[in-house]
Amino acid sequence: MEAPAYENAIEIKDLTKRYDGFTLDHVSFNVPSGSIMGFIGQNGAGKTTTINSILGIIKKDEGTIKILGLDHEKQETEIKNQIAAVFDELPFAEDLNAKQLGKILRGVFPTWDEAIFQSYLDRFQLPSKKKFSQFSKGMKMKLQIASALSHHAKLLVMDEATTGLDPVVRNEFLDLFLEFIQEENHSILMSSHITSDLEKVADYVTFIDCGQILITGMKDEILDNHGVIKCSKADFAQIDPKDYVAARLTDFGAEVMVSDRHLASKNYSGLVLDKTTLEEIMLFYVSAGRNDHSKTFSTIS
Amino acid sequence: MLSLIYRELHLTRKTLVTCLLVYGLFALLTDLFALSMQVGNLAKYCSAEDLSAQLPMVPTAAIFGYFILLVTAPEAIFQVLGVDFKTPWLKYALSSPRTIREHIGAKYLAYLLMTGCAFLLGFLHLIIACALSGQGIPDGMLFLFFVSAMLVMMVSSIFLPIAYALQNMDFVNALFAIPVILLTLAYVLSAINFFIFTHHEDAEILDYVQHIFQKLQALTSAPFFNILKPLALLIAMLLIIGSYFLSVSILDKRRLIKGGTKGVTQKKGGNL
Repeated sequence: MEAPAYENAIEIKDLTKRYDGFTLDHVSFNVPSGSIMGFIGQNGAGKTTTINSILGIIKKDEGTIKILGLDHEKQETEIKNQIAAVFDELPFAEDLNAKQLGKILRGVFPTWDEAIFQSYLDRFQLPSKKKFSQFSKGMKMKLQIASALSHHAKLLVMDEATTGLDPVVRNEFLDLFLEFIQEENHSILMSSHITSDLEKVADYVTFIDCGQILITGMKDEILDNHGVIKCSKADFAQIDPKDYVAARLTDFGAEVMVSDRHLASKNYSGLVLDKTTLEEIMLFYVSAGRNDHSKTFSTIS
Repeated sequence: MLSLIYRELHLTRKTLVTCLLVYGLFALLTDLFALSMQVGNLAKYCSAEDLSAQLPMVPTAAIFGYFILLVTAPEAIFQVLGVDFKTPWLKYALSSPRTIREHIGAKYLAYLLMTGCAFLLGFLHLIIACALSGQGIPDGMLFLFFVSAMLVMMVSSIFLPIAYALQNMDFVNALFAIPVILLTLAYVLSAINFFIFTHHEDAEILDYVQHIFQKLQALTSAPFFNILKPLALLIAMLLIIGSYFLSVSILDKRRLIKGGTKGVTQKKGGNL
């Protein structure tokens, strides 16, 4: 199989977008070609603004975006022929059925493949003559995915596509994404706050909060590097603030997020140091950021 | 572009079918009335003078029916716009390989197609109805049909960019109702003028209406209007083209403001 001519499916550098009360502030990250990037952040963090900028739905104020090795502005149509967007809500009129949608999208995408679309409809057991108003939420999302995968797109960009779906359907989609990524030049950027899904399928993750990137890198590396020290408050007082990202104080003790687990295990060998999850990493980083950068916050148990 | 026009027409099919059914019923009643002037009860029991007085009702009714068709076309497009604004369709459209010009162009072309069909259908029915009543097409009817279409197109060309700017179809529909009501009133008054005052000079109750029409007739006979009449098509086309470019510009500019279209703007407390 021919290797892609570009190293990264998406290259974002200093992306800035200003709104009243919110700024996407010099966001930079790359989505390596052939990988799945999980884009994590809570509501209002800037995920959708970033994705809308990538898809050309909004115009950036500053920064550069390169998609599939192509310039985002100068080669917009060429890019859009090769990317597929999946949103959290069905963008198609509910009065349509799948057969009619196929006719419409055939004229929208030059590389539309009706045979592939029909095969996905059969696979997902979606009726071709039933109106979308009669579809369940899961069926609507399956329809979106089917249409996204039916025009030979190389890059799939998903904005909270699995939110609100039951675990069975979400698992089906995750398998589908892994299938999509089997092609060497296929890549996925998926934003979500369901971190458990991203832990299953993502190769890379990027955390965003308040319009700024907190961490970006290989998922396994991030998980391996981070850890949570569980100790008493007395022991916590002995930990150097430079050695941890954030700490959560409870009535029973402290939970301390470290970004270099191996170093922490050497420096604080007497303390319990557990592996962590993407969700915990997000919570600690976000909470620390919200507490005037004091790095400690309390929860009432 | 054809597939996008197909989308527009498909999403308006219920409105168009309902309109055609209402129009069909109205046209049928008009034709039956026209036929009765030749072979029905009117022919049997009315005097020649009375029959002659009833004749103008036929083309007047034909104009009414035609007006139903004309007004349905923009309403149908507004209906699709309402769907576009309520779903993330515009977001999807902006992320697709088709340009904003193509997406909006499909809407305008669908609208022009519907208006053109309304004109042809309306005028065909006028020919049939007049033939059934044994009269020729009155002078100026073709021009009246033509100007009606231009008027509705001119009004719609104002409202389409407003719709894209506001993205609130409830407000646009309410606003659009104003010229529709005014035009309907104009048609009603013209019908009253046509066959009450033409043939019943002693009708006192609507003297005021006749007075208005005499004023309007004086105005439209002015040299300025005589120049405007042949330019009606050109003005309408220029307005439609200008409206199209304005709509494109509005939708494009919204990319610079709050996340583009309503489908992508910040939901309260939701994702950014």
